Order: sequence, then C-alpha cells, then structure tokens
Amino acid sequence: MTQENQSEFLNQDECKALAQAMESKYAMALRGRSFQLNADIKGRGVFVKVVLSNQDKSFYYPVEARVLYEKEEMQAGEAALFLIDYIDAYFEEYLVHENESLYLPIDWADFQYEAIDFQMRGQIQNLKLEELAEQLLKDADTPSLH
Amino acid sequence: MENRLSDSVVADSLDAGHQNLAWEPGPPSGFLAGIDIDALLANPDAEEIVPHLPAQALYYALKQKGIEDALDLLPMLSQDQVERMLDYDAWHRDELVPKKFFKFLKAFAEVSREQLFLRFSELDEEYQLAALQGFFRIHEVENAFDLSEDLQDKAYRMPCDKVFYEIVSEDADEIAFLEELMEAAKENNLRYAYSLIGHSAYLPPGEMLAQVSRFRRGRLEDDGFVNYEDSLSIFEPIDRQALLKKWSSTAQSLDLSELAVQGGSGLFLDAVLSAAGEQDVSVDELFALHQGFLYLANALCSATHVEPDDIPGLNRLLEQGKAILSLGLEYIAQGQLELGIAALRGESSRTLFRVGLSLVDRLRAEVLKSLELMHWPRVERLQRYYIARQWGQILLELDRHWIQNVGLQAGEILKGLFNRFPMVPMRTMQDQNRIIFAPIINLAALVELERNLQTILGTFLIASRTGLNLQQPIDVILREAAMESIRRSQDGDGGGIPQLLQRWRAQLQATASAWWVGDKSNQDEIMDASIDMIHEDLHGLIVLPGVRRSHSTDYESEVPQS
Repeated sequence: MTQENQSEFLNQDECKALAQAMESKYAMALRGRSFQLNADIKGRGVFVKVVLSNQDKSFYYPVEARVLYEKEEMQAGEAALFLIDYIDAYFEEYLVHENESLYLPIDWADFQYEAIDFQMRGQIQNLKLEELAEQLLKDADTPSLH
Repeated sequence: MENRLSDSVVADSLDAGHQNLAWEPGPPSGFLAGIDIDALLANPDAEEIVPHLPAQALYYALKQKGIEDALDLLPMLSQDQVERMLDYDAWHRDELVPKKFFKFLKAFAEVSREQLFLRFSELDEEYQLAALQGFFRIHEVENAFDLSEDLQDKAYRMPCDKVFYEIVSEDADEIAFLEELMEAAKENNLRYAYSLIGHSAYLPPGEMLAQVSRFRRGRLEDDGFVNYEDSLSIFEPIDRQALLKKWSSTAQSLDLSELAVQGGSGLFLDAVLSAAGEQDVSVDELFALHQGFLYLANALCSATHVEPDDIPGLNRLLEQGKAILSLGLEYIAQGQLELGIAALRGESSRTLFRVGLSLVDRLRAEVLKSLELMHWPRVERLQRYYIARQWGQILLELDRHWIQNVGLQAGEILKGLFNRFPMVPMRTMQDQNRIIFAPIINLAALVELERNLQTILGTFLIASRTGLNLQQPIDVILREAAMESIRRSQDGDGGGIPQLLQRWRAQLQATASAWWVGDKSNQDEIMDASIDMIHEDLHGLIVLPGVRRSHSTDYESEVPQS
C-alpha cells in the first residue's frame, strides 16, 4: 500500500463506525447478530469484507467484494466506499426486505453497477459446528491408551 | 452521490421508525391478508365479484400468493384494477421503474399474448409511452440489405420489411418482455404496433413520465396516499383533552394507571370491533371503517417512504398504526366498549392515531424537560431534533453518544420512546445483549414505558447530583460516588453504602419534581426500582445485601470493611 493510499484509505475506526451504522440501520432484523467490516488494499485491488455473525458464530456470513480500482479510474478510498455501498444495498435486501434466500455466489463472480466492474462472493457458514467437527477429528486422531 | 452509510442517509433510514428496533411483527393480517385468492377462484361467481373488489386489497392478496401462482385471476381483473396495481408495483418514489413494470405485466403474457396486448394497450396512453420510452430505435430503409451488417443481426423486422427496430437494453428480462409485447401487438393490431414503436422512439424524453406521474399521484390520493408533506400532519399534536371531554363526562378523574389496570392485555380496538360485530353494524359502516384504516395505513406509508409494494414494511406499519390508534381509542373511551364503539364511529382513524401519539408525546416532552433540569450532556441536541421531529437524528444521537454513557438498557428505553412509532422494551435476550421491543398496544404498555422511564430518570438524577463529570459511563459515576462514601465512612464522616443508598432514595423523594415523568401514583415503587438499578451498577465493587430491605433496616455491619 502506498503512503498516499494509506492516508486516504479507511482506517479501523472508520470501519468500525461503518459497521455500527449498518447495525443501526438493520437493528430490527439482526436478531442478536452483528456486523464487522474490513477494508484493505492488496496489489491493484481494493478488498472489502463485511461479516454478519452471531455471538457463537453458528451463523457466520462473510460477504466479500473486490475491485481493480485503478482500472475503474477510482481512488482506493472511493472504491472501498463504493463496494461497501453495494454490500450495504445487498444486506438491505437480505435483511429488511426479508429476502434471506438471496444468496451470493460461493466463489468470486462478476458484478456490474453504475458501469463499474467488480467481483463478489459470500457463503453462510456455521463456524461453531466446523470447530466442533475439527475438534472431534483431532480427538479421533489422538491414539487411544487402551 | 452520498454514501449509503453517511450519517444523514442512516438518519433518513432510521426516520421511518418501523425497522429500527428489534421487534417481531406478526404475520400479515388485516387487508394484507384479507382476500383468499383460492377461495375467490373457487367461487362460481368469481368473474363478477373480482372487478368489484378494492384494487389495493386484491393487489396485496396477489403479492402474498405470488402473481405467477394466480394466473387464473388475471383475466378477471378490471382495467382500472390493473392500472392501480401498476401504480403500486412499478414505481420507486416518483420514478417509474420499467423493469418492475415489465415484470408485473409479464404475468399477463403467461396467460396469453392476447391478455398482454389487451392489458397494455388499454392502459393510459401516457403510461404505455412512459414505460417504453427510450427502449426502441427505428430504422426505415427501402430494403433490409440497406441495414448495416451489425444492425441486420440485432434489428427486428416489421411486416412491411421497410421498418426495423432495435430494442435498446442490455437486460435479458427487459429484452424478452419487449419482444413478447411487440409480437403480441403485431398479432392483435398491426397498426397499433407501428404507432407504438414510432411514438416511444420519437417522443421527447421525460414528457410522458411527468404526466403519468401526475395521474398516478391523483389515483394514489384517492386511496389515501397523500404526498409526503401532507402525510406528516398525521404526526402533529392534537388536543387530546378536548377530545376526552367530548366523549367522556368524567374526563377530570381519568387516571392512566387505573385505566391500564382495568384494561385487557390485547388491543382495545379488537375488543371494540368484536363488540360492534355483535350489534347491528351496517355494511356501509363497516366499509367506512375499513376505508378509514386504509387511509391511515396509506398516509403512514407516505410519511415513512414505504413503497406500496413493500409488503413486510407495510405489515410493520399497519401493526404500529393499529397499536397507536387503539391506544388513542382506549384513552378517549376510557376503556369502555360502548363509548369505544361510538368514538370509532364518530372520529376518523387519523384523529384516534394522533390522540394515541399525543399520549406518548407528553412523556417525550417531560423526559426532555427532566434531562434539561439535570443539565445532562447533549440534551440540547435531543431537544433540537425533537422540536424538528427528526426521529432518525434522535436515534442516531442516542446510538452514537448516549448509550456508551447511560448504558444499553437506558439507551434502548430512550430509543423506544423517541422512535417515530414509540415502542416499549418487552424482554432482554440475556445471552445476546439485546432488547426486544413491542408496539405500545394499550394503556398498560404505555404505563410500562412510563415506569421504565421513571426508573432510569431516577438513576440519572442521582448521577447528576454526585457532582462528578457526566460525560462518562453512569455506572462509573455511581461507583466513584460509592467509593467516596466508603472512604468517608472509614474516616468517620458519614455512613457506609447502605446509608448512601438511603440518602439517595431520600434525595429522589425530595427532588421528585426534577426527574418524575407521568403519573404520580407509584412513586415509592419506582424509587425502589431506581435504587435497585443503582444497586446493580454497584455490583462488582462491593457486596451488598438486598436493597429493598435497606430503606428501613440498618445493615451497615454487612458491608465489608477493609
């Protein structure tokens, strides 16, 4: 990340404030879930990840988006806000309009909005169950004393 | 373009008031679920009945069932019903959305091309052209070979072989619909088909849209969808005392707490409607009542920018509107069914809604006054937003600047109070650190909200009288004050914690005018609750025995001495 990009890009506090704004907007539909938001620059791409999850992570829904910002003639910060806007619009449909069957592709897929090309992916996971399963497998791998 | 998560956009979204707080509206009811399409279609007289049904109720029934699952009903609709349904379905704010327009009419294409042609061609001319504007580009040539190669691939041919048209869209659904529409037009009326592409290709942009938007607004106003500015009048204060006097001879002796105890646990409105059903109520009266509720619902839609096709949003609004209306009715009828029936006949649903809201407004004003007397930080901002009725800004202010200091519970109670549709906390989900709200469906719920407010204001008062900086968490303030008290008791200056709590309780009693809101009938109980709340806040600092007994018992010996 360049110095210039770093100074203009979203910092952690701003990401936290944006996640809080989403929690305020969708309070009714959250049902104990909360948002986490991360934005990053990797190479020529801006990556944004918004996670909707409950406390024990038995519901864990990361929605990710990425864009080649220079190719789209955008500043990195501007590109991040564009992606966050799009993800927010997705969650509005998903949560407020009670369309929880509106799924994203599991792997990166092309999207276009306002003539900007970007990619998105998202998959609902049950991290709690996955951890339990992993633990179970680990236990099974441990040689028995008997 | 402004960011969707900027303060002003988030505040706008919170302003609607029906989706800000965690609550669980029931399944759609009332006119949202009023027509059973299957039963209607099974009726041998369905073809005669359907065109006479109210378009809005029918539209919601269709949406609930899924329009593609009710194709048999579509040919029975009158053209006026179809046009009104498009008014509800195909717009966003004041903009016609062609994609939604096409999606709605696509269902008619599934019935038959003739149905599609009939329904489309019988719409107002302005509607047809506004929807198609910009979607066709025409090429007139002597011979098809005169078209460029590129156009030969993508242009559609009219039967004369001299007029070709392109469909200007990248969207596969839009293209498919327009292809189908043109085929339907060509099959049913060729002259019309030529005229349609000609007009929609050559008309100046925006001209038809402005007209059709005006016509639509007129039709929506017939349904009670007033414009946004007018709809706000539904939230204006009303002289509830005057209405009370009009309907009740014992207005002066009215006590909300007593009435709340007498009242049932459900909606007074439901009880009144049920009682009215046992009397001779004419069909005309029932229809007038239904229309009154519909007008209220539609006016609420306008005020909160809920689109007519947003069924979950409308369902939430209906539940909120019905609750506040019922509250107003219960108040002016003093919980008496006979009086309720008379008031329901004599007052508009809009008036009853405003009465209900004014009961909460009184509390809002008193809470702000109390906070001002306590010199609570940032109260002037809340007051400013309240005067301007900026509900979204108030909620954002509470979220951003109050909850961290007053705590989640108190902050959420205040959010419930200042939500556009006031709500009362019902229960806390302990594992998830969140509070579930419910609409204020009756006087009992209003009294519950009042008690919640009294309790938290009691704790605020104590914090404000400690002399400590109020711009820090309230539990920190109370603990610091308690620590100071322990230090002084060790120095032989003053008593320990139990004495402190007693002093605080006495302070609450002596300064009631500075923090009390609402009815005064239960002051002792509330002061106990406030002290209990403070007791909770002191947990972790010192071990305290049950507080309630402390008001009359000296148990200083139980406080750990270091």
